[in-house]
Amino acid sequence: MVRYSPQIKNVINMKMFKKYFSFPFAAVVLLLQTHAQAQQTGLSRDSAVQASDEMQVIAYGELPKRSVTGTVSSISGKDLEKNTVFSLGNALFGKIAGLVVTANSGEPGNDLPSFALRGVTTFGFARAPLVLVDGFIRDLNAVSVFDVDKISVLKDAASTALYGIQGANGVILVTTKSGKAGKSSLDVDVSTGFQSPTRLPQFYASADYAKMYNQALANDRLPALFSAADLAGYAEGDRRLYPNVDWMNETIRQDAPITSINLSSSGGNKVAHYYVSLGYLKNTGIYKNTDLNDGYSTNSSLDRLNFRSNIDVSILNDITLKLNLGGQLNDINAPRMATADIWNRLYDYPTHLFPVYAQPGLLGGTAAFPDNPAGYINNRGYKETHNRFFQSDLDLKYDASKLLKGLAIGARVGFDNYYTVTDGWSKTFAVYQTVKDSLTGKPIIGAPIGNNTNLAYNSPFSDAQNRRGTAEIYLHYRKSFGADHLIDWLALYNQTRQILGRENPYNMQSLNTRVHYAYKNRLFADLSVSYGGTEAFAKDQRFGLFPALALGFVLIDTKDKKSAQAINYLKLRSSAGMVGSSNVGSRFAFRELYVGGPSYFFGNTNAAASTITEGLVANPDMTFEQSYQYDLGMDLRLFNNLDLSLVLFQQDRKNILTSQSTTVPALFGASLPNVNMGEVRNRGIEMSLLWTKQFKHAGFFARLNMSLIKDKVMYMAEEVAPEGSEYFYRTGSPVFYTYGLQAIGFFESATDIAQSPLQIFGPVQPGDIKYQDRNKDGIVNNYDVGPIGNGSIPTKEFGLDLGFNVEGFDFQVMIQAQVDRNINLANYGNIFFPLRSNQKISTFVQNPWTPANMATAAYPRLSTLENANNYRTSSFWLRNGDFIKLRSLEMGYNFPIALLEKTGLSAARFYVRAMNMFTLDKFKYADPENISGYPTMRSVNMGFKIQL
Amino acid sequence: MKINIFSSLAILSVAFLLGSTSCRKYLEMPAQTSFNEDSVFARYQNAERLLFDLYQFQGRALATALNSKMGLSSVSTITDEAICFTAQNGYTSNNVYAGSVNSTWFTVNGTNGEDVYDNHWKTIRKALILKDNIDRVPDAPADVKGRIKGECAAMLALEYFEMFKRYGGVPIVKKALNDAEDFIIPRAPLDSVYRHIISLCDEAIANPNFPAKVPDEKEFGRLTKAFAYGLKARTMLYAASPLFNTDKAYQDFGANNKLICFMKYDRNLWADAAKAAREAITYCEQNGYGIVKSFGPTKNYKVACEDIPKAGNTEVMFGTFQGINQSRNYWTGRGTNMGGFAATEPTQNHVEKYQNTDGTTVNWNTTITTPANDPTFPYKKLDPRFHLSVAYNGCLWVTTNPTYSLEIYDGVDASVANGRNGPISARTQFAYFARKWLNGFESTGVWTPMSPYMRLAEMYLILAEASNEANGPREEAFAALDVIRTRSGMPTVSRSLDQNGLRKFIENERSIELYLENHRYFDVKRLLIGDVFKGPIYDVKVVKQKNATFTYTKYKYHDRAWFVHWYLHPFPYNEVNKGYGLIQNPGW
Repeated sequence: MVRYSPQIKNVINMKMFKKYFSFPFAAVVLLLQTHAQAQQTGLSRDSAVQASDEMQVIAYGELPKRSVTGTVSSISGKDLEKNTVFSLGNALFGKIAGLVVTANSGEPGNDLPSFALRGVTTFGFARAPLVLVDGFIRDLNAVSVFDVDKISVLKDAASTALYGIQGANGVILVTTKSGKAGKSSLDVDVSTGFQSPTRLPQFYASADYAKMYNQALANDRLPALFSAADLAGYAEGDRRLYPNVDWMNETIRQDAPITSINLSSSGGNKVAHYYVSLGYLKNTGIYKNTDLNDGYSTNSSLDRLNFRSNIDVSILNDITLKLNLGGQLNDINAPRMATADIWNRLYDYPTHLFPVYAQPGLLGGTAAFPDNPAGYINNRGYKETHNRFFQSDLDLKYDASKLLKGLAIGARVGFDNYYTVTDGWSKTFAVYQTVKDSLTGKPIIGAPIGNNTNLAYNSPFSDAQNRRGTAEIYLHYRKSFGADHLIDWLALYNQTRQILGRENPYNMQSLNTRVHYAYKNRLFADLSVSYGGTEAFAKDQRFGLFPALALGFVLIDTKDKKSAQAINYLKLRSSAGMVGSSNVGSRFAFRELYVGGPSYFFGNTNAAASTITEGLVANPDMTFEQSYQYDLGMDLRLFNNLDLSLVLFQQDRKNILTSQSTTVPALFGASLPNVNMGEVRNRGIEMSLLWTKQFKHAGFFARLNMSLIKDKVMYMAEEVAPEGSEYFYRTGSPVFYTYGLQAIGFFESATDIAQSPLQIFGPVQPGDIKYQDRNKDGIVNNYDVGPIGNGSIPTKEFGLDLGFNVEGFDFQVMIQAQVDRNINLANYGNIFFPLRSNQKISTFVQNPWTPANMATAAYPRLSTLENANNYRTSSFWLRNGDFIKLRSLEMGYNFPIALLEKTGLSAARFYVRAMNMFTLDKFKYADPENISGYPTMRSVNMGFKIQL
Repeated sequence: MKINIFSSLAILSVAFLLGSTSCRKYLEMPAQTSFNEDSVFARYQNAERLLFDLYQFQGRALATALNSKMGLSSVSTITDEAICFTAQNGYTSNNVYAGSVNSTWFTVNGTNGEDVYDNHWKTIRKALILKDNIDRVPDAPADVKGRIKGECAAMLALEYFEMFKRYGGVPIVKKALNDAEDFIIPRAPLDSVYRHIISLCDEAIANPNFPAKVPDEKEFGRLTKAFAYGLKARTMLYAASPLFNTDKAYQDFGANNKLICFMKYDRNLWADAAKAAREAITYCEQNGYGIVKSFGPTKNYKVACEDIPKAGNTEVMFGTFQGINQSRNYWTGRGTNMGGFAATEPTQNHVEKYQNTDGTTVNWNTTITTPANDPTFPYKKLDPRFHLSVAYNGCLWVTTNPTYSLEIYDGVDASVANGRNGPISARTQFAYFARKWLNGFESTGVWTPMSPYMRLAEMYLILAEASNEANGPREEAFAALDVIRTRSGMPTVSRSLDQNGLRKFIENERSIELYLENHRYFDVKRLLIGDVFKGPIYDVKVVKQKNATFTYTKYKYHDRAWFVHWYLHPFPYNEVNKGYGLIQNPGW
């Protein structure tokens, strides 16, 4: 049963809420009472149904939506702006059917989500879709959410074929805003608020910990560590001698401020139009007491300044020039120590050994635990990462109608530079142990452990100048022949060079063409072909031919008949094609290569001798992955207000790299390269439903995106398992299905152990996890590992947008759900494996096994030692990871024009917005998307938007 | 109109053609990034690095290396020499005690087993490539190349020996494999593998450029001709031993019996082994090696086992300096001043193997009560090698100021304080900690160990054993043992021992002299006396009484599993399952 998580209570800390919002709220209420008629609503209602004559961005161009035959979904910038995000990707949760977006860390400057378009299509190296901004391959997150005009997601081979050798994982096209002819306008959007972690892992306090530790020692048949006096002390004693430190509480704050300011202006005339913008973001991290140092902060934070200038100019009537420039300056501040290490210490550092401060100004600690987390965050120095991102592209197009009506010839170049460097300033700190004086029983403070040093500069690291240059020439021909026929033909040559640090350049070349044919604006056909290659493979494996064919047929369109029918519009479409993925994780595998090996020590003086060793054996046949994709789609409009788009698809990914080491004898003696033999099949349904209703003074809409996708490994090289262990193979299961042992309870007694099949992972005791001997061979070993449940990528995803407006007031929420996913706690041993390597005990541990409670125990016996039997992937550690999240919620008020007239403003809007406000899930202990490390954030902010 | 279409198409095609031809080389990889076999052998500097890489797995497999064997416990803990902290179930020696050994982990990649089968073949491939190509190097003199060939031959012999003792007959690969068809090589009969190892040793011995000793101390850790002599003697000892030298396999394997034994008993193999040991000793002593005896009886053994040649160790025939600042935690016990993981701790069984310096033994069968405040009473007169190998209650652990004595005892009741290193205070299990490998590093926390693979002392032990088997208990055998014993202050061997008595004595002496050097496990197997692994394994309970005396009470800690099919290792399960015809050893 899904229940509200207990953390929800803390979402809105009322005190803080009042502090930030009481005044604006009062103002809104006042305005609501006095407003005149609303002039605009804040609602956005992108439909997935491809019916209108509105242009749809597709590969290297655009077509009216009605005539698009491939599967393309899009979302407008207006909708994206309803999210307060610091990376554009975080505005896409649940927005596109089939695009599964999962949040990761919420660390400022490092909060990119992960994408899976149409689920899992390969077990190969690259699974993320290709992203192009204004037609050039670019980082999605290098674009400000305010500058996006629309995002199109190309899902089937018919839409992605022109990206040929890079298109197999789908393509996301981002188009930035451009100016329109007309009066110049200036838009200002300012918002501010605060954020806090969605959930933080919690650990037992000292008193409980000490009791449980003694129990664990008893389980290990070792003497107890904490005496009765100690236990009493931890329960309620002198906290200097019996500390009880909640490290999360000591180091993590709940009200980190965030700010966003964006200015943009657009306008133009017949000759030229422009869009320019300037934005500033500040995202502050959640560490506490970071301002104790003079002159610098150790908090994690992001300061971003971004600009964009998009200019379109018409020269001599038949030449148009389009120049887009965009840039970003990111300054990311962070504690000097690595984020993962900080969080591991927050999970591991004991509550009971020392207080935060032995005495004011002196940090507590011991020789074994010298990294007092409060000091580890704030007294080890800081580091600054500077990213400088510059994007530029130029499109020169000649309308050759004089030569041939409908013909245009053009050339485009794009040049991007991405510079990143990190500077560090580090120091160390001393900690002081508090011990009990054996005579007086009073706490005394020992000698310092470690040294307090001054800041020292560390030379820059992660220093890289990455750049990418693209050049294209193209020919576009669009002409109607008579009333019934229309041809739209594109031919394009593309070459790209990307340079990443000191790696060999990544080069691509392709020749692409697409012929679009329309008959009576009802029947549409597209043939797309790309012939492209990459430098990564041997000469004869380098190029591929990627064809796709698509058909679309508008069966019903009531615009023609003007009769009141239930069905207003119906279009059927279908496509088939093949696209590739050249990013197989291995370049130049065709050559034999000797590489540096680990050093070896000779002599009396420990001189390290460097070595050379044979690398992977050459695989001259290595080539790209191939994806055969088939789509069948339907667009339907009912009753003029219900849009339904439904797509069935199948993808067969072939040539996935898979290992040979399970078949080639060891006596070969060399490391073997992977070979293109793997296959994955993936099938699914995508559905988008939009229901809108508009009345005179009010309106509402509901949009549901849904995808049900299942993948299956068709071939993967696998180790041969003993007969009777067929479940052992991954072939036949989804790629990321979790494989592990099947836990069947805990051992109850020595007799139980003796009577059960032998478990070879380590000697077991009563209270250890008992596993099923799946192949019934009398021993439980790695060959009893089989499928135990879904992986972390869901097979079902839902996105629900709801909105309504009444007069000038509007309200919109976005809810995302991921279903059929699991969390494997064995991947987060630092939280869930209590006491291992002196860890704490998380409050997730409830009712661990003891001889007294064996009937009801819910956790294996505690142990102070490594437990190879229990601490491995099994069904015991696999927990339901389904969730429903309220991703965004916005309430806005648009001031009536009548009120604005005197101020000179043409529009004004006030809004309150909340992101990641709550989560409904079964896991509850931590955020189901992001279990360990820097947590995912939720935020509440308010803002206003005016137009001059 | 039509002309226009065609002309524009023509223009465009020309443009594309121009574009694509001018960029024909666009996708070519930069030439300088290819570093292949030819590039390696084009310069001696590179070829030499390939040679260094040859040692990669060898050095890491030695006794003191953090060798990742047995889940970070050591191979010694699956013998009667030692035991691991049994509460720590990551130590896979615990699985051996419980009898759960199988082919899915014992010899597979990973950190759990006793061996990594694949690594032998990786080294063999490296040695074959180097040996077959070194002549191509243009900028090295012939004697340097000759030496490398000798080293490769010795390395090949070493790898085949390591497989021979574990698996019996294995495939023989004579050239680096390249074509898939060549991979299908069946297991060769044991006899062929034996002869292959001897011929490789002979090849190395006959090599005029292969030096007896590394010419420069900076090269310590590289194979030498002395090693080739020694390996020949060791291989012959294994071949002559009952596991292989028999007409009846340890477990009947039908038509495949020849893969696991010689299927005939040949007494001459013992004579061959004795001859090879004699030759090895003669060759070594003529070329600057010698038993370490100039540091006094209480230190000779330490220098011979733990020191580098520069510090006076003239005895090590192959060994590796394992690097500075290693973690010693897997050798030290738990608790104060140790802070270790108790991965390898001596057993009472092993302690009982030591004699007193007057040739008598300590009677452990009744409780020993010491005089007041004299905890080391039972150990006082034991073999100096004991004091250098085992840390025990009352022994001086840290010998430099401030000194630290171990207190491995519990108080008899609450009125007597528990010793700080005892089972209760240190939450540990056994009364002995390892000392060998740690002498001189007791207090440092950092550790700079040398690890011997072969010492001249072993040659004397081989000579004694082979001579006794070939010719009976004659002076040659006794004299060889005396060399080992007298340098550690122990009396000479009684000449009255009969052949069987001497056989037992030699087995005991090997166990003492070669303690923790990864010999015991394979000695027991080659001698077909696997039942000693069953135990019982004993420990001693040390209790401090109210009158400050200590009582030492021997008690049985546990019995261990042992099965006949364990005499040889299993081939990895997934290797057998590749389906190319690798025959698994019987019983696995």
